[in-house]
Amino acid sequence: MTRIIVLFLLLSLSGCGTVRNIFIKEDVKAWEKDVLAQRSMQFPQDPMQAYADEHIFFSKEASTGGSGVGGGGCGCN
Amino acid sequence: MKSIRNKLSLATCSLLTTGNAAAEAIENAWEVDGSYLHYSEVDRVTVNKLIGSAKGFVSTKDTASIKVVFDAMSGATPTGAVKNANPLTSTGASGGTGPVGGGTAAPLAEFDDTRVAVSVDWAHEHTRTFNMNYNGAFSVENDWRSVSAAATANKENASRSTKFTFGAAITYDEIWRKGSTTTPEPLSRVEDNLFRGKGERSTTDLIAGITQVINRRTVAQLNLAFGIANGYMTDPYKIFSVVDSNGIEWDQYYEGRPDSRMRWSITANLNHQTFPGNNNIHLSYRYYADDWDIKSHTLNWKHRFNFGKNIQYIEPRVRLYTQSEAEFYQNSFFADPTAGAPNLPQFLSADYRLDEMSSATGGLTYGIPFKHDAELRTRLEYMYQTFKNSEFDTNKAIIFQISYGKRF
Repeated sequence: MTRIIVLFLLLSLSGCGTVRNIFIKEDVKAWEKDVLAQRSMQFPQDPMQAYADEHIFFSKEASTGGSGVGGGGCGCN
Repeated sequence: MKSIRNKLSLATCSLLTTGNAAAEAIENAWEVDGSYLHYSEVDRVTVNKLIGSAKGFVSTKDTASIKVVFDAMSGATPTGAVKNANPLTSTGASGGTGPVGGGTAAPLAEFDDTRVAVSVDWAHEHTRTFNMNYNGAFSVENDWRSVSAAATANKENASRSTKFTFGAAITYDEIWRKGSTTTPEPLSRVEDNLFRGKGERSTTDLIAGITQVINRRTVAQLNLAFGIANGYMTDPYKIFSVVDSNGIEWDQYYEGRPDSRMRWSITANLNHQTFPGNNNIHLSYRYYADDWDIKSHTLNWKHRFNFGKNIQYIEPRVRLYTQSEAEFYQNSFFADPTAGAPNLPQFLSADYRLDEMSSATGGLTYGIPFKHDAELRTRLEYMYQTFKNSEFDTNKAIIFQISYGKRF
């Protein structure tokens, strides 16, 4: 499974036509932040989906955390 | 004209802050979100979840938000006993009513539980580049109660291209079996009916993160998380089978876990918008480890394809997960039935979630915006889990969610 994950990660990046653009560092002026302002560029992109996912995977797996603190938990694990 | 002015304002504001971004203050004072989730495992658990949230500016520097969650959970879940367990002596599950099946039937326990959770946030912008977020949360089920408090500080650099985040949370949980105020004595014989009072647990979580604008179309985030929990960590419904050399159960015991757990993780997130396609790629990876000897890798990938005049989108998603087993996990415990009471280890659990496992989740999300800053999102996903040693070697689930959000 670990191999699949690594392979998948490499394919995701190598298959992306803009992979070079992703890692080019540049100064972004305030008036150039239109794209970064979009909802789809936030962490998380969809808070409702992220919240539901946290509950699902917390109750079905042994790992949790990494996206923030607080907000309460559940007795499902 | 107002719309153009708002968009220009948006474009000239800092865009790193996600919670109470000044950009959002200019365009929208309040926003509400509602969501329904249906989670259904094959022959096992079903969950229906309702989430409602509202967020708004209560002053030019303060944002308040509230989230209310209602869960209805039912179905059957593994007790931890082997499949040839005697169902008459099986225990229940969370909120459970007892075992199901018979003879050589799988040792599943039916349960039916509800959960209500409320979470309140307050964010205050101290300076242009520094804000604090305070959170309080309360959650209650038929056999569990939790209260937590958290504070998170966000500090941006002068150009607002880098944000540092530090957060801390404390949580206090109470655990008991439904219909009583007790928990079983860990590693006690099920037939002996040894119970003690409620379980209590306190948890401290810390997080440190950095969010960095890489370029006009890329933003990355790195989070380090650390948590330590002390108290009752055992599942009061889970048992394990004591088996003979043929794997036949001859007795059952309640599980027992360590009374502390220390976890840490490192999570990397990346959001990128392609050019000229203007599609969105999201990648995240998390490495997790704890002192129960569980190590896991989680990879999450989404690719959002935007289309249409009003920018609808379809978003395929794949999530891959793998974990090692807890050091005290055993599917069952071998002991010679003629040698008297088994000599059990200090900790033992047959909970399938502590087994070595792999999990893959895939599906599609469709989003469509409406007039007046409203949006509908719906997703359908399939989750497939495989376990190395557990009695139930797979678990399959359908996830359906529909959400509607509107900004005012």
